[in-house]
Amino acid sequence: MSWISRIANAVRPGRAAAGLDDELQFHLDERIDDLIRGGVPRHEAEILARRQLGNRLSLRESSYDVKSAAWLDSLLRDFSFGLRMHAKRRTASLAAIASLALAIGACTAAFTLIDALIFRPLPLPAPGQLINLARMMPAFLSADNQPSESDSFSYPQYELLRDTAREHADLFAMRLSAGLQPVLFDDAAGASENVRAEAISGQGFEILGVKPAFGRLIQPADDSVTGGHPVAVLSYAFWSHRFGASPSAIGRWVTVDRTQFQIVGIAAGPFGGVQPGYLTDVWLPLSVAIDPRQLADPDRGSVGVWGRLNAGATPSQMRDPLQAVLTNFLRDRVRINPPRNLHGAQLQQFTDAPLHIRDASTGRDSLFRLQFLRPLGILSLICALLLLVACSNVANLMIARASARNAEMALRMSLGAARSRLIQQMLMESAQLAAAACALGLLLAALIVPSIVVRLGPTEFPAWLDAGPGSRTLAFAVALSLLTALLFGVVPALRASSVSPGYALKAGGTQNSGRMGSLRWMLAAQVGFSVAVLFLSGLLLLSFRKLIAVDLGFARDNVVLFDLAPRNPESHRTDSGAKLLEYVRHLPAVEAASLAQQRPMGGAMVWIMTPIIRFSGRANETVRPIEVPVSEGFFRAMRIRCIAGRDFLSEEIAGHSPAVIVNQAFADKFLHGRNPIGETFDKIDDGPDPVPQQIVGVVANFRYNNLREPGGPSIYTPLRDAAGATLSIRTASRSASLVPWLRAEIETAAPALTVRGSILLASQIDNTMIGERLLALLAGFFSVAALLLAGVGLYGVVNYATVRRTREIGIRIALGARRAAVVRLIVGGAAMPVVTGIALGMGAGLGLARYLASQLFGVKAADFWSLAVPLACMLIAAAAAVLPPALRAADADPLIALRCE
Amino acid sequence: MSKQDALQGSLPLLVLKILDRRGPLHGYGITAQIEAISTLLRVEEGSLYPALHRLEECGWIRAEWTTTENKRRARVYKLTPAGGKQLLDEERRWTSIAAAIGQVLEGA
Repeated sequence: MSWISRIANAVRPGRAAAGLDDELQFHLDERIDDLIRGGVPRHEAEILARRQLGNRLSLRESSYDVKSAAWLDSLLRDFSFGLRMHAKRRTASLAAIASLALAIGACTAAFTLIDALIFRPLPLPAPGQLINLARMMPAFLSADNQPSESDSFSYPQYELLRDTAREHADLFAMRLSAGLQPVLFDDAAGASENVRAEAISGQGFEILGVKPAFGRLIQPADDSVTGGHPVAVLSYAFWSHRFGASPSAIGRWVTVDRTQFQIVGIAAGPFGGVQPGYLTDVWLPLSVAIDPRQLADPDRGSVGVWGRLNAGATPSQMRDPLQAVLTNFLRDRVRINPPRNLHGAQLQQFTDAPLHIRDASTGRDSLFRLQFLRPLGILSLICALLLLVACSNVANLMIARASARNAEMALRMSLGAARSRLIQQMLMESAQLAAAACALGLLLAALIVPSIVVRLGPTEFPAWLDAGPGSRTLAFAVALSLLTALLFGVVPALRASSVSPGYALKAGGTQNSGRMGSLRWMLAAQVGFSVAVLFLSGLLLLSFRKLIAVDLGFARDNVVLFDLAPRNPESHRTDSGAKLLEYVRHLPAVEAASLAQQRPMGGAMVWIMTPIIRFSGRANETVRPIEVPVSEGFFRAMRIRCIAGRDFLSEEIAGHSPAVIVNQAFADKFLHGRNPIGETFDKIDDGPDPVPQQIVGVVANFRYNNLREPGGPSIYTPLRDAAGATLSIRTASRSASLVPWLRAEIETAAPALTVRGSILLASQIDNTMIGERLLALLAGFFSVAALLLAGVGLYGVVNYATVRRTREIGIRIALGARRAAVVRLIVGGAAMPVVTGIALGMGAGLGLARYLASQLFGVKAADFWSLAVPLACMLIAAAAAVLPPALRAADADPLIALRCE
Repeated sequence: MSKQDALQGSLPLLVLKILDRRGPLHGYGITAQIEAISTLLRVEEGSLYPALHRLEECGWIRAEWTTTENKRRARVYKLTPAGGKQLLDEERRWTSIAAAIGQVLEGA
């Protein structure tokens, strides 16, 4: 008999039983006929035949076991029995499902985000074959003095690498964009939009394996320095939200950097670029989009090199030949055009920097990915703890529920039920809870994920993650639910099935001593996990509070920032700054205006200059402060306190003055109490014959680049050129509404400039805290959830234990115990596990806090407040959970309590 | 339920042998046959049907419903080729065990 018929027989037991009955009936009839033929009277024959066949029911049972899948049959019985049990204790079951769903939903959401950002391969065919080239650059070439990978190559280098690698891999070039740029669509009536436009080789889409959804993609013929086609391809996601997925987008024109491109197609489906976190909106042909002179420059890194390994090829086969041609090329270049900033051995380290062939199956590590790696890791850690809270909570509930069924279990055992059978039945009940929680959790995750994705990026620079529910999310949630079912199901199942059969026979078997036993440990675990969640969340919240309240050293409100760029990229440096400032300062509503080379609070997006300087008269000593070129009036506009000396003069901006201003940190660290005003130093990078720089002023320290670090020793040099700088305008009133008008005024005053972007300083500061803000938000949510779960769990267990001791308490009261003593009895019973749990949770929290350290600001794990806040919260929650059942017990009427049998 | 390598007890062996010798039979017929051949052996009727179903489960016999001469629905069992092979194996095993036990009894 096949498995299918067995399963069918298990699902529909009636059919198999009917067949058996027919067969046995036939046997009886034949036997009776034989007996009658042998001379036995009919009614005796019937009795005799029956007796010979034996117990028909047990016969049917044993044959039935053969004919149907017994295990399935018992599972089905357990399933319907489990449902009945849940229906009977509806409130408790719903509470269990809700808390599990919350935790599973949170974990699934965290997994979905991390998977989409980090682990999920690009939605391309055979992503494992994708590679990306990079060089390990020596430490002296980077601003932070750490060796770093550079994946930028000049176009001639790329061509060389492509031709060398041909045997093993198809390479192509892409110019990825670090930010958004304004473009103009021909249906937008002259209003520019900020999009991420990236350039790709003609072969790029074919090598990646991207297919067009509409029209065509960029082809080799489009990508040619001589006679390429100015075409553009849109990503599906951008096309959907910008053009409402209308095919009429094809044929439209878009102006990027004053070149017009015609939209010829839409890239299919989920492919949104190679940097998870960022959506590439528009793709352009590389050699049309990049200026031909820049493209031809053999020394200027302008493209990234990507590719796909041929079937069977490995990166190690091609590394050596690629390294050789690249090093030879660089050695030639260094000979022809020696770089000014490298000397001696540094030159060789630069030309011989090792080439890495990186696995690009999950795309490139964008700044976004690096930025959110740790926050999302912390988020998963807290989610996992929350899941443990929920699991121990539900385990407690199951234990309590199972204890109430001790008599039933004992009866079943004494009737011959195997222990494994009882365990199976208990686990079935757990699995039902987990399954319901899994479904709800998936729903919850699907709701949470998009709202978190929105918060991952600043509004003007949105994050894009392909974080839709997929098979990976589903598999994770199901696996997690199975795991939780085991986690919270095994202990109660073992405990319930270990009851002795004799138990049922004892009088008053339902009134056990009421000791909590292993419940005590589960309770401690639950409190412990909750405290760990509270503690870690508390750290994140306290840290965020410190961060938003940090003293910046300047006034952040009513300042708007405009990034300026030359309208013509070929134009030479101008002294446009002074004129522009003069104009802007005379506009109504403008209080102050100034220029700075770098956007304030630019965070990791900003290039920091760290020149090496040498003080006059101290030949052997060099120091490396941060240099920020600013215009005169900068400190006044930002409301930064001037401590000594003066600001730059407008002549110093216009002419080429050797005046510098330093901050307090610079004076403290390098000048050792000498009067800074009048001190002079050289900037070594300025060539062999530098002009000595003279300090003319000292300003207070302020945080320029980043909220977390106090401005280190810095020098401020006069900024001459508005192009490429950031214009800060302080307005008299709220600035947001003035932005479009100011922007128009700036472009009128300086026709050679264009405004690339604008943002309120306050928003810019907020944008540097996105990760922290998100974590704080979720941490707050998780602490409330953990407290709630701990409180509900504690209440449930104490209440259960108290109810079971009703008789004992009744006797105590009847014998003259005071109310206070009864309350003390109940509270004392719960105190031990709660205190143990708090201690364990704090210990675990302190251990785990090390993982959070890089995200924390101004808070240490062992601080008073970090420890006191979660402790107090937990104690209050515990008191709120334990006191009501204790007071109820103390109020019990001894007569009723004694009669409750 | 896993297939057994050898049948437990002698009943299945007898059933297979009867079916081999007499052709297709229903359960009652098998009982009658065993009783007719040997006055010593009495089939425990209660264990016959579970045994038949187990043999069927193993694929050694096949069953189908037929109607007898006196218009009763009967379930008739038939030996399958696999059952024939199993019968040979079982017979050989039985004989060798019987021989071995005989030797021990004689030697004792």
